[in-house]
Amino acid sequence: MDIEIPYNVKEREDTGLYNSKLGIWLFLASEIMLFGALFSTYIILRTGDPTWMLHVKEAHLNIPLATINTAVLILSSVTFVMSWVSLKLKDLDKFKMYMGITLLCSIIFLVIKYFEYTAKFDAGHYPSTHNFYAVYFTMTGLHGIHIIGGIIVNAYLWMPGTKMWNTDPERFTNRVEVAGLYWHFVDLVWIFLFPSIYLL
Amino acid sequence: MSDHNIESHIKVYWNVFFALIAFTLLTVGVSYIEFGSVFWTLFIGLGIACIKGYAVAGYFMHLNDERKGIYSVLILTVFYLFFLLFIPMIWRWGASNNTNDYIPYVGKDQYLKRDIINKKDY
Repeated sequence: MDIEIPYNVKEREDTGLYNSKLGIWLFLASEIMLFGALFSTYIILRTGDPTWMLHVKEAHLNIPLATINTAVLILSSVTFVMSWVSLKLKDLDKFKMYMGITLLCSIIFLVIKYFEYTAKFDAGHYPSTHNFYAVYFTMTGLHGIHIIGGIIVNAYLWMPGTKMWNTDPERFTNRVEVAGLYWHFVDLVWIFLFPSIYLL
Repeated sequence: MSDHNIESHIKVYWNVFFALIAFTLLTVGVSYIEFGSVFWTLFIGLGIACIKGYAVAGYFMHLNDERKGIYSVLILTVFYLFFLLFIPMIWRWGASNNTNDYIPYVGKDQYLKRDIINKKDY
């Protein structure tokens, strides 16, 4: 027996949105509070410690690598939006191409992060070393976990998930849009993390 | 969205991308400039981040032309976010009147001594 889930494609009259879009925005609202709490903690720890900048300077964070990572993540955002546009234009091949680039960018981001982390560990710097490292590893680590989550969903949409395109193209397009909103949010968090931790 | 509409959207997306890259380089560039005060350093650094954030949220996440339902969710979130970010600032303003009431934990083996705080060498 096939039961059709309502408002997967059609917009609800009261919200003007299809349900998963409202759902992802509510989820993102909770994510804003999660990262907001960490930023708030960061402000407390930083302003309360007169030696903070001393440790930042000693840490020698790799700004060129982090800048490349920022550019890579921004590129992945634009290719994601292009993959959604390709579905709107009913071009599945282009969708696969752009989504493939998005996935490649996200893996490059993680590889660069891996080199950054191992350099810190090799130098004997761990989250317990100083509050600065605790903030650095917690915030970039949580962001990294979000990247991994995004990769899993995006890889599903790129490979087995595309089956839905043949049966319910509009619903598949909406799925990609919703996954894209999450991905852009992850990019947005990095846009604030990068200057706060590496540059200021 | 009509096909013509989509074409113009594609142009916008790529323009936003190039703008974001340019602003990223600008953020890195200005971080090497001495502005003379912490306020201006933070204001300029985070100001550029806000512009980039607006570009991502407004264009890539389509918040510039979204339904009312989403705005009402987000207004509440933004209100609480500001509240959350201002708590430490308000707390610090109160604590700064008396430095001695707050001694931070700075490492796994040591607490910062009061006389080091008062020297303000850093």
